[in-house]
Amino acid sequence: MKIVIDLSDERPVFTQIINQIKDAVQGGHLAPGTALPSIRQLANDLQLNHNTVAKAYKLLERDAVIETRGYRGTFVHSNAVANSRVDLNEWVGSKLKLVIEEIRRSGATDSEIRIAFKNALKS
Amino acid sequence: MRSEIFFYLVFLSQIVLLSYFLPRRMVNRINYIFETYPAAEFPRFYPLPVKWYRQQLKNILRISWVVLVLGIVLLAATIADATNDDYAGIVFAYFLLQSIPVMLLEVGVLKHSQMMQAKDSRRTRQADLTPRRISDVISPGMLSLVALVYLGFVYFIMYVQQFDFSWFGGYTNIVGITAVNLVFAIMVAWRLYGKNRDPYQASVDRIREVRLLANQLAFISIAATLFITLTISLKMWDLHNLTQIAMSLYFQLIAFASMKVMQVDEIDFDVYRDDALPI
Repeated sequence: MKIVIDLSDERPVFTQIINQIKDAVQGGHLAPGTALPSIRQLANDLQLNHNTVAKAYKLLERDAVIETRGYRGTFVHSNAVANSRVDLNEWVGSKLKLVIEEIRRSGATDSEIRIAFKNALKS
Repeated sequence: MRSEIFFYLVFLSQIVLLSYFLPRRMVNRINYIFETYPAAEFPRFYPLPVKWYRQQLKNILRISWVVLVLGIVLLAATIADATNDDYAGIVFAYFLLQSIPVMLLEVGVLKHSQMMQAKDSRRTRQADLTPRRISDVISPGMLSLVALVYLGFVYFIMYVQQFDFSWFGGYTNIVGITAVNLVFAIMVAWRLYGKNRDPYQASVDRIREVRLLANQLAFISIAATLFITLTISLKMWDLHNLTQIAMSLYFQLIAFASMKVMQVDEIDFDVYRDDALPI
């Protein structure tokens, strides 16, 4: 199983890694329990900064697509097939859209929403 | 007298093997690559002009000739000099001289790799989603053998330490061999997990290359440990005049180990074509 990243692609590199690992899980190329390369190995092979691969792995771990088992390494999560179908970004986007529509109906302007959103994120 | 004649023969063998046979073998292998995989068809393999590579090879052969002639002169001088029977220092110094062409070749390979990386303008990159492990490149049996020889050496040094020999270096021998093994382990780990020197190399070739390196280093580690053990033993038994023979044989053994390289025709050269897929 290979992973290919395209530096010309407008999507960030860490997103490309996440998507390809999720696609591989859903396509049955990566079965639950399969060992994955270490962050260092993958970053060196793709000639990327380690932090980029670490970010992709962290988000995949948050979504329970992969799991880290201490010194033994990183493995595909036992529920990876189901978990890889969940797109948290899409869920956040749809929720925000509903909230923004409701606020707009109350008469608030976009700039007021933006400032309020910024403040809400800070708190 | 018999041991002296044996030494001359062994030293002659060292001269010929390391300064004639080994450099020619290396150069012939590279020339074979140039002829079988020309720059016109495999441009990615040649980040520098072919003329530059050929000049480097010529220099290596010239230096090898000089070292070879020097070796013959040294051998003649040792035969003519009847007053001295300890040539271990000469054998060691000459081995260092013989290593110069190999070092030059390594420097050339390094420059070649750096230029290859600098000229790699591909926007797509590819990697295996399979972890590489130390067990992929060296068998547990070989690793156990290295560990066993090392532990045997530690026990041997502790045993010799009980006696009062003014020349004995004591535990520094253990420090030295431990350092050698650590350096070897770091080298293998670096090549296995670190950035690949050749950005185009097929992953299967990379594993084969690291496997070859790991086994060569394991062999050298065992040979070095046994050689130090033998040197100390010869001194203990007051047979120090055999040290030079053991040393020369040891250097030739290392040279033999380093001669084993990947078969050119088994390497995937298609990755060096201009229209090759990423990696």
